[in-house]
Amino acid sequence: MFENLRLAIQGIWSHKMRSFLTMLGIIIGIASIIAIVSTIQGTSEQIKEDLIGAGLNSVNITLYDGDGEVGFYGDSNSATPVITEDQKRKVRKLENVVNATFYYSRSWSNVYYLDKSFSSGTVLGVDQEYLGTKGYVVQTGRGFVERDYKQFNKVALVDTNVVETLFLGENPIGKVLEIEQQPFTIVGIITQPDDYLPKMNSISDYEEMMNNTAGSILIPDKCWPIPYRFDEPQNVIIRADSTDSMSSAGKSTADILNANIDNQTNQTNYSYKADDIMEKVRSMQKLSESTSQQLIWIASISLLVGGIGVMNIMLVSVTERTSEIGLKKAIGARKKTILWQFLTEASMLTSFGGLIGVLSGIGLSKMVSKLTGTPSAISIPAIIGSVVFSMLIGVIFGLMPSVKAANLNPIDALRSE
Amino acid sequence: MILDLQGICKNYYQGKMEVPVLHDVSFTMEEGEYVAIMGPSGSGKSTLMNIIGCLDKPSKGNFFLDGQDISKCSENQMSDLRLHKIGFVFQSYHLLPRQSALANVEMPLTYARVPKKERRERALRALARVDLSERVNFRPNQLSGGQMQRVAIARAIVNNPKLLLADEPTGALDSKSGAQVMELFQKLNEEGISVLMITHDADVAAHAHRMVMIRDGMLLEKE
Ligand SMILES: Nc1ncnc2c1ncn2[C@@H]1O[C@H](COP(=O)(O)OP(=O)(O)O)[C@@H](O)[C@H]1O
Ligand SMILES: [Mg+2]
Repeated sequence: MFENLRLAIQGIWSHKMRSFLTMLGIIIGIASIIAIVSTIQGTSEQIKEDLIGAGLNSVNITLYDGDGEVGFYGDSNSATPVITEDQKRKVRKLENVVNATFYYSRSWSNVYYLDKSFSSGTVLGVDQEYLGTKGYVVQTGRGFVERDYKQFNKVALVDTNVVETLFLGENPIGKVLEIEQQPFTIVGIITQPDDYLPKMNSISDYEEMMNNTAGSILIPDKCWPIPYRFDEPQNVIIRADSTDSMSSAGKSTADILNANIDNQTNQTNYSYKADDIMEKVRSMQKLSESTSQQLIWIASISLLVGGIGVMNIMLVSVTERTSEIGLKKAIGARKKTILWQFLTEASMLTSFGGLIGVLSGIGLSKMVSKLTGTPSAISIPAIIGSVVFSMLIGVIFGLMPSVKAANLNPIDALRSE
Repeated sequence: MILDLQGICKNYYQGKMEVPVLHDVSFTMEEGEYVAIMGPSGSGKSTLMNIIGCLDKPSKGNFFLDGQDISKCSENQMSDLRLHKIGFVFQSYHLLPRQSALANVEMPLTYARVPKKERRERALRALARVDLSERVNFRPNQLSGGQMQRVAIARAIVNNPKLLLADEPTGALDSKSGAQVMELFQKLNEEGISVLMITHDADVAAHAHRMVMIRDGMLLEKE
């Protein structure tokens, strides 16, 4: 056995250039598979982290009209359901709900600082639970307090993006924003700690993060009607006590909110639905997996070509070493011994190729990740699988030449010199 | 009796044509004997040697090696006979070029699954018997023809075979190294190994106890 390994390494080493060229197909095939798998896996892990959040376990509950999200709340529509204080209390009392927040949200509204427009930002009307539920902390200044709500104080919080884009890094505290011609005084800057960023709560948040990082402006929800005048549906985010209870907590919340909707009298089709984030994570991961599978099929063609190259070289090698094979048989080597010798050589050749391929693949995925900014994750099963698989290629494609060697007639083989 | 051949025939096929090479060859050899086979080129000497060496089976006739009926042997059993009972020496040495003398001599022992340490000891002893203790780590291309043939002989005897088969072992050597090799065969025969040798050279054949002539595939014994 070890003798075979020694002979195989010697055989490969004595024809370095030829062995390397033979391995090339395997190297390229394995390298591309490893690179693809690492990149896809990295992306998929990133998606999962972004969507689930680092331990926030937050679930969005969104109002739907039929199958579509109720998006724009510009019109007064008396039929849109309003969440009552009683419902809010019930949601907060749910067993798996740690925290819940109810808030208004508006993009593309008229926001000015002096004469600078900031319509790309988002204005949110939030309750006191909002910061905690979203994982925000107050960086400078203060957050909203009881009296802001009681006295309808026209105060606002801005996130760090607003500080950057609208105030160009200047301290905004004490400055006045005009929201739909109503003055709001900035009292604090909020931020999400690094390990919460950029964690998303839903696919639309994810898209929003990608498209719009202009920033968020928060005002007390009691003040919402001051600039926007109408009562309108609220968004809901809850925080579940564990990742596993996210789905059930989301569903229970939606049930409570739906209990008040009177679709029949109003001839409407409203309902609250909880985002099943785990479901979305799975489907996004599945999508990236199926893409990677297609790519792997393409890479496999390179492996096939590599395998045929190995077969070809092994056949040449058997012909070259006919006399050696004849001699070995003459001095007592069994058929099986010869077979194993050549199979070992073929599979060593491809395993080496696989190993080099794995290393180049890791390097390649690191490079791709550096260049494009996509994350990469080294997958140990993929590495082990690749090496084992390339070994298998050696066995499969080495089989025919090895059988040929083992079946050589020793007399003819000896005569060949 | 180490060899007992009864009415051995061997035919080769050239396309559909049957070419007879050995006709009804009967031949015996006692243990410890030293026999030379002579004959013109193409007379069938090597063909006979291959049958005796269990590399080939006769088309007709019975062949017993050390009492064992070869016609009943499987391929693996033939391999094992070659491994344990027979040592082969060829005109063109047939050493593995990339391996040291020691590794070449160890090779049959690996097939016999001898443990590594014992393998080394026995190979060194065999090389000492052919007077090559100083050259154990040399490669074939660093050795002279006579030295290469002695490495080949060491390889042939390392598994303690009963029978040494040599097909024109001095054919490629100058007369001086040829004489050395012949001396070696004589010494090994005196130590108890039976030797069967093909040769063209009458002087070489004179070393043997007995001489056998082959002509056109027929055997003629000669005193
Ligand atoms: N594989 C074979 N196929 C056909 N003819 C063969 C084969 N091997 C040997 N012969 C023929 O058998 C005859 C004897 O060959 P060989 O035994 O090698 O002779 P020697 O060793 O006495 O010179 C030759 O005529 C040779 O051509
Ligand atoms: Mg001959």
